[in-house]
Amino acid sequence: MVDLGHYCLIASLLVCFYGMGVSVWGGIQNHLPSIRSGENSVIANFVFVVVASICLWYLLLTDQFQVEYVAGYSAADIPDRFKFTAFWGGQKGSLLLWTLVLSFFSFVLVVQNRKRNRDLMPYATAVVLGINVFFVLVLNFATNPFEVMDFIPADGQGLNPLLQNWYMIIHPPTLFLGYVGLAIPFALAMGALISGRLDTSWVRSTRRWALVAWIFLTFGLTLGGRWAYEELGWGGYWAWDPVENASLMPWLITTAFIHSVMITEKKGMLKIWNFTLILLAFELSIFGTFITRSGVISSVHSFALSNLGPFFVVFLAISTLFGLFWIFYRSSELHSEQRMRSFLSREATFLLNNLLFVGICFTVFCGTVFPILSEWATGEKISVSIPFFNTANMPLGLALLILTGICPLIAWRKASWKNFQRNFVIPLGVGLMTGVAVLMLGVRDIVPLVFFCACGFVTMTVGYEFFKGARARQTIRSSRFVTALADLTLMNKRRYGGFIIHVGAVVVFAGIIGSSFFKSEELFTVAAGEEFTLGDYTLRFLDITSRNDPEKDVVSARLEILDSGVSQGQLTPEKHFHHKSEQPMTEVKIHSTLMEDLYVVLSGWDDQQRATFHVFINPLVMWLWIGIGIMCLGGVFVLFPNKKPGPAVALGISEEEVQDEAA
Amino acid sequence: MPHLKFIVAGGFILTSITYLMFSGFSDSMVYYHTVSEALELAQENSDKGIRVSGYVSSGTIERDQSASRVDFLVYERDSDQTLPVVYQGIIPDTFKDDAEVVVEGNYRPEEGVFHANVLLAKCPSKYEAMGDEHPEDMPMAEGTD
Repeated sequence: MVDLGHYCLIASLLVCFYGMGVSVWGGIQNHLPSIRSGENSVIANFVFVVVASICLWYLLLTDQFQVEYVAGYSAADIPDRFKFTAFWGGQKGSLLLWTLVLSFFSFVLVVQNRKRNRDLMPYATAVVLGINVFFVLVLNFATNPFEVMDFIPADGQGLNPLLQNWYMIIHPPTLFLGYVGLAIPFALAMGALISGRLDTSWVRSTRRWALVAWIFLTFGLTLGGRWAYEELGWGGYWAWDPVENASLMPWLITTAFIHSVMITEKKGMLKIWNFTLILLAFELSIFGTFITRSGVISSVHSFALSNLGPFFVVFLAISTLFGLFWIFYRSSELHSEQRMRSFLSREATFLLNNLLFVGICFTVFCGTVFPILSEWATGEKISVSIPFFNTANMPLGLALLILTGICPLIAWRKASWKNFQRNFVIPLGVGLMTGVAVLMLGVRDIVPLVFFCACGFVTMTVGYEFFKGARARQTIRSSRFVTALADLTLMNKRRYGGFIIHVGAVVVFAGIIGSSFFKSEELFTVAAGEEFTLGDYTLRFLDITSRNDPEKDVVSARLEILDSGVSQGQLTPEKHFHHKSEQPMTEVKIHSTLMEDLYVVLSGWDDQQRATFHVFINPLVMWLWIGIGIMCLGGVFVLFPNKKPGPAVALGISEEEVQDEAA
Repeated sequence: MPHLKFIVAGGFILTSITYLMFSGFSDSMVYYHTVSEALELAQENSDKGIRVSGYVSSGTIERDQSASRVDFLVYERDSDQTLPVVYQGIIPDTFKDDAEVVVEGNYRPEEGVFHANVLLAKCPSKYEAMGDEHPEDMPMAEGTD
């Protein structure tokens, strides 16, 4: 199996090189057999990478500890599901997973475009194969997961207990699906640039891929946040850690792209900008993989120690220059078909939206790489801490939120002030009412007040859009309001799915504001039987016990939640001591309600039944998860094809106009 | 010149983003230092936040369980200097003897102790001694007070 894995990786490298060559040649000569041969190499490569991955899984599941990777991340006695996930427990396996997903997506791309986008496919194929070449090169020469040691350890080191949970089973693959998903839009965009087919056909194919990547990135980011929240035990879900930032940045740029691509599609504007965004999103996904995997920033190790560093730096440089070169080369053919007329136009709000997303990404990027930059510039390694990210991004986030509400109220091209004012009165009123309501609930800080007002405003504008559309349909077709609403949404999934995503974003904003401005925490040291109070909760510490499970020792404290003397259930925060890793594991217990989370950490104890608890109250955290759920569902909804707009045609509205409505 | 006003507006936005970043930078810059550099700096008595990386000296961890407080010494490889550190807050699970740590805070010369408000720890790995790659590709476990 070890040999088979080795051979597959080598075969994959060869077939990728071959495919790149014939694709480019076939593209230039317009020689169909060569082009097909290039596409078939993509399929062959997929098969090789799948076989290599199966080999690694086989080695992990059969405890072949002579393989260094298996010895490093697995052990005989861990459950099979964790042996399976040990595949991406370390750097080498993660890169193989990256390659697996990439070869799969490349395969889908080729199959999907057997008949479509023929002009640009040879070059798109060559580009995806080029990216494959890079990862397979790294796998073959820098981080080969099939490396065998010259001795056979009795047992493996085991998987880090922090990784032995449900989130870590699905978080890395999800995030990778998002990262890698960005390679395909990049390839299509490059294909369009190289072949010179610069009409909007590439945009249509790219948009869906970008959206798929966006959904996976969103979901992956959230899983990462939940993992941090439930497993790391410091009471929060986001710490602006380089690894977190690395996955946030491609998300921000992809979000910007998904918005701006509509302008290109509808108005033929912002073409160069869109190519640049795609390039940027792809580079950031590679950069993200790089900093996550090499630990350049978070780690105190210096850069040079990672053998991956040079590979990634070279690849980033080459692919960026390659992309920029083609954008520049075609720039004269990429001018806008229309000009922007007015600030008070939907085009302008999209442009502003893009500037904000890119601006946020830029601040996050600067904050993340600041240690590296400062070390190069001054010789001193300086980092910026959490407040930097918060101060810089809060106003930008607020602007973005408000813009979400303003955009649909403004007409394309040029809105009149009168129409603008008429559309604004009701949402603005609702926003202010939200503010008053929140004020009455006892919120006195200006920042959260403004944010909550904005949330109310946006919710109302989105609600109003649905209402207006359904009403208009109802008057024409005299159906019931609910039917009209459902028809409207199903017929124009792109527009209304987008609004659903915006509703989700509003809920997320509320969750973030609630949990960052109103959280409280306190440390309590109590003896058994004593009670302590934080916020509205009174907790009684019942007892602390220890037990020995087969793979770990567990210290467990029981707490009863009391509400005016009546029990509301128990919490049992624990510490686990895994035999394999010596490292204790904090098992946080969370009592979650829609309004707030009561988050309890057992942080210490002595042998006289006294224990110390770190207790947090995190308001509205649930909203964050719900909001992201809504966003992902909205994204999936947009992906489904539209219901046939038959009735609209019958009414004399052309399909184009219906499409045009789809903002 | 319909483009001009958009350029002006764009410029305005870029300026505000830059301003926001700079105001953020000055509030939250933290300098990275090794143990010996930190001890040298201590003579100058600066109240700037610094971040020191090193390893936990074996056997020097003294925990006050009830107060979630911990005292320990940080050393660096290739030097015999150590830095006494006190930290109160959530102690990361990965914190133990010989763990690679990063502490962020201020050195108080009058006490001769570094007061940390952030403690990051990465656990030592068995294979590292073999001169091999670090199997822990995890983000560091984190504790903030």
